[in-house]
Amino acid sequence: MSSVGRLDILKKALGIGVVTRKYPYVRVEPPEGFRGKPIIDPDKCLGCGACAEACPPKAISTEDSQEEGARYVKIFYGRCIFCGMCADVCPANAIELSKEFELASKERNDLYLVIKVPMVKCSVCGKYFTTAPLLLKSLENVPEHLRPIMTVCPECKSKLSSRFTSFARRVGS
Amino acid sequence: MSIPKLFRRSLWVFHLNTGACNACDIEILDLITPYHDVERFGIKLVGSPRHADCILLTGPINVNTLPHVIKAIEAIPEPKVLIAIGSCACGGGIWFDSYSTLGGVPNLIKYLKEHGLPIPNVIYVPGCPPKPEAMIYGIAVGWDLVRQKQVHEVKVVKVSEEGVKAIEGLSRELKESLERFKRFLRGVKS
Repeated sequence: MSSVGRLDILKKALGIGVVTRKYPYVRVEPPEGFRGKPIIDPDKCLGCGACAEACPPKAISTEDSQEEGARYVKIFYGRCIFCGMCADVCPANAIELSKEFELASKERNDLYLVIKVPMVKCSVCGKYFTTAPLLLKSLENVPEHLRPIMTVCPECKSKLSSRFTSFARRVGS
Repeated sequence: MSIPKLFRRSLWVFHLNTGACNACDIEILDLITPYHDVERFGIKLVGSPRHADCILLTGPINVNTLPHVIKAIEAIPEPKVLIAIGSCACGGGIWFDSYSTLGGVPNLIKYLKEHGLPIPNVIYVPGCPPKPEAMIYGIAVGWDLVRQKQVHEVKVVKVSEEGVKAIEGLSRELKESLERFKRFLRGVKS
């Protein structure tokens, strides 16, 4: 038998009072440092796909559409584990983990966020190969005489350079 | 038929772990503590699927647990609601393409539909693990107590006109220099 009587427990319970939170009717703020729904800012996103590479459950995926000339960056929140790797690797700091946690939905399709990024055509073969914001960003770090060749896709670039080197060798001999 | 019309009174819930890491299960137990206290909505955890209206699934649906999941879902009397708790249940989590899992509730529903057991009412509660508040919100969304915040969004990245012009100019420059290079090649041959 415990030495605490029933009346003592009642007294203690009355002293503490009601602790239940009236959640759906009253807003609850998540604690400091809470990692919630990751949101991509379309004004900053380059469409490079670094987040899709880093995402452990592959909740972020990229898809290139040659018909529409656009790259689709898709986040599926249903698979996201809220680790924050995408925000860490993003070169443009376009991804931010908000404090939003109320993600419940009745449809699976509602759990998608899609970012459409316009792409650039290769100036030799005419295929879409990279996104326009990414190309503009990388042009800043390239010397001016090399900038035109940045508008060529990697496959065409390798063919171009091989032709060019063979030409140079022939001239040298 | 919408969920609120199906269940106008207390909701009895059966919880089934299908290979989860236990985090979601701990959060579910949090719901029935005095702090969150879902019994104020009439929600109660029961021990048998035959007593339940709704089933909470956690985990990515292991292949080994699949027969038991199907048995439990079949045992729940109609009408029934399926609630997927956590990232594993909603989309497979980090095991979405593993050989030993079905890859979450969407694939389970597809599988059940092929075998003649369609489940129209499903609620997805993502999170790893979801906060107990997020689960209460999920139930509130299902029962139309609150408006659903999460919607399918398509955002378009805009490129400035200067940027487009700069890229066009560069590609024109490259085409010109290529032609010059070809002419130069022809000149060397002749």
